[in-house]
Amino acid sequence: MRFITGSNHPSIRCRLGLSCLMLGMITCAVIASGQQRGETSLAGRIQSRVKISDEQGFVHAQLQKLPGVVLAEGSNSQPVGQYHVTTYRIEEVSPAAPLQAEVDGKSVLLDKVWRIAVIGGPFPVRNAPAVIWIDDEPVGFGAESPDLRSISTLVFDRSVLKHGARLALSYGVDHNGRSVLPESINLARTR
Amino acid sequence: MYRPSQIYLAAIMISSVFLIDAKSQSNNGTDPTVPGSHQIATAEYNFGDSAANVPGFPGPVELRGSVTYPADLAGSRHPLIVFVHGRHFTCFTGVFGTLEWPCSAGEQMILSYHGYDYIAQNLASYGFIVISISANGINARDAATSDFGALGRAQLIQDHLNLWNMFNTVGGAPFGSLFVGTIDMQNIGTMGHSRGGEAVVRHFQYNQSLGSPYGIKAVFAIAPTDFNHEIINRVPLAVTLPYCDGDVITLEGVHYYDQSRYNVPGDPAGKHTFLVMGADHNFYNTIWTPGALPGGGSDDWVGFIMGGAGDPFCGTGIGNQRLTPAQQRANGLAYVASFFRTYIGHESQFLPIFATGGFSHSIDPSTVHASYHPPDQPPFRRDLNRFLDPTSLTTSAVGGAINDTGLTPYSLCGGGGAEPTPCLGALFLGQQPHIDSFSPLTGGLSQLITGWNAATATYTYLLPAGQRSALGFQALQFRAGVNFTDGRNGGGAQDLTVTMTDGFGKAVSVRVSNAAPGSLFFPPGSTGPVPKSVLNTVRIPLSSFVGLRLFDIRQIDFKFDQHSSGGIIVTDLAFTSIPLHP
Repeated sequence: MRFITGSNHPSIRCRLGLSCLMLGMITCAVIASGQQRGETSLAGRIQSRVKISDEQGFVHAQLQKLPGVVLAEGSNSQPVGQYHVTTYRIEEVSPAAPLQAEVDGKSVLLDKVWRIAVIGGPFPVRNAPAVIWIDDEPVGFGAESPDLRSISTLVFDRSVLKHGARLALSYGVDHNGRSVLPESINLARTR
Repeated sequence: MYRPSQIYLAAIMISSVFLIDAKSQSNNGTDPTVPGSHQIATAEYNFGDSAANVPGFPGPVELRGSVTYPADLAGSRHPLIVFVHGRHFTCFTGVFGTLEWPCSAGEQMILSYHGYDYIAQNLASYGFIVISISANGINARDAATSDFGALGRAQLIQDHLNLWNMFNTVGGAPFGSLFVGTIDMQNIGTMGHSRGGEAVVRHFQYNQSLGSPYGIKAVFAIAPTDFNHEIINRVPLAVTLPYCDGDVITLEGVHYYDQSRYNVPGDPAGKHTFLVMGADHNFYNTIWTPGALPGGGSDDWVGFIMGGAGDPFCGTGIGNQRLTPAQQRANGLAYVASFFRTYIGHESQFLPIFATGGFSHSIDPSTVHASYHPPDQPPFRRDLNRFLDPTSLTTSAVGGAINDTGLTPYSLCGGGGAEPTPCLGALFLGQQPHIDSFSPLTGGLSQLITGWNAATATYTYLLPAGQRSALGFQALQFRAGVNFTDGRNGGGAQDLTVTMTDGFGKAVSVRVSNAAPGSLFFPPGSTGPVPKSVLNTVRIPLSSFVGLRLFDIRQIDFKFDQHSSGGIIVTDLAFTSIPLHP
């Protein structure tokens, strides 16, 4: 994977060759079983490896609003599971300026991020955090749209987007409480 | 700080102040649900949907709230209580809630901050000024923040305190001089619910970081989140843990108690948890309760737990043990009101009730299992075992030997590091609140996990010279829970005998089930996050050991002689007393 895509400008060239790293609300944490413990949870990997000066969320808020290029989207309209999920949309988003992040103490610049939206609902507003999964991996905490018809998260590692994988929604990193989308991710157009 | 245009807006939007007859009733002082003697008044203030000063928060936040106060304000400065609600829909249209902020045209704002009016009115009738603040703007955008809005909510609380400091000193619209000189800004209690519960913990730290301009003297969190693992000390703390919480299923607010209890030597503040059997998350807030509004209310256990309605304890079928909304409000009122009357109002009658497990069912219809951690001061607590490291398996905190006979396993768990964590292996999220969390917890509560296969098993403490007097203490106490994963319990409650032997060879035994009835209950439920393992204080009054010479106790034996087998989890063994004055 690359942290930087789509640009040859030297100022935004990736400076770190690590793999399977994500930024912000993203982790490559694998929850080994259906049971989730705090010490192996999503945010644990996030907070221990990635630092981004976005504690107040301005960058995330901005990225959630920016227009994106649709890479994949489903078409199911029948609600599924406890949270009535129906379909999904994955977009590639280009920040107005490259994003600086620190991974394991090393500087990283990003010029692309990916926005995953689980669509359906209307979703509840809970005190437990929404979590979006790709197959058995929780990939990010979700932010609800104002109309509560979608919950989206940002992915900073293109490699977590797997063709044929299934998206799911839970509250807390709760494998057993997930609503799994009936459609698999179709990235055929973009591979 | 507050621009004229904002004040003008507030002056326009204030609702009329009106008087409520508190209907003071006969009260012997131990029923906190009975209103006090003051007539009360209530009013609104609203400086606009984006008027709050919340530095760095990625969205507009309103500066809006209500105040409930004794109508007879003159004569003394009144303590201030601040309420802050948690995350919920911000607006609704028809039967649908939304997360807009500000609300769009055609939508109505959801007034979550009015959900605790039933508590505010009671406290005002005892002379407290209670403000309840709106945090819908935070709710609309906190998913974008890395701390889930904790700092933003703390800043919002501080902004309201700044506002009320102005009302108290120079006055200002919309109240004019009504509150000038009426508030003791150094005697403040804060109560938050859900993410608001984490907010009051975070705010205690935030206020400290600013040099403690305001005196936060007590903190109460109802069903709080613990995303950020803050630890606060030197302030009385209470946490309500609703057993049938379908939203914050982790009951992670127990961490505030667990992580703070030995954190600061000499901590003068008592700590409490109240595990409320049958309570859900939402019913403490009347606005979040179904039926209050066309949209937004829910029974979170039924709504969020797959198969939850069918759970024999938390569900809705015949024989369930769920509390009705009214019953749950009675619990909330009893504990929140009495907590602030204790630690802010300095009344002494409620502390023994907190420590021993609750009010009578005529006051609070729920069953409450409490934990109480007395101040770390010699008159109130002498730790016999904190169970923090392997040494605690063989040597007590006072230096004497510990022996076990017939106990298996006999080991520590849950604290992280070398200890197996979590204690009970693979369970669903929410079944082990002492380690479960929505965000990482490197170590939870260190606990002794043990069990027995014969009624001859014993666990013995030998008290060394110089540590043998328990004179002045009221009780021997420990935190414990029945291990619901241990088949040796047979799915039932447990019991054991505590025997203490003095220097004259006199041995006196007390059964836990007699001294602390119901304390070793088998956790109920069978769906999703229940049953849960939550440890609660087992408090055995020393007065139960009739004839024992308390000035010369040589040995304490825990005898597992009431059932032929079983498994329990234990921590926090100590001689304790309840302070006469909070």
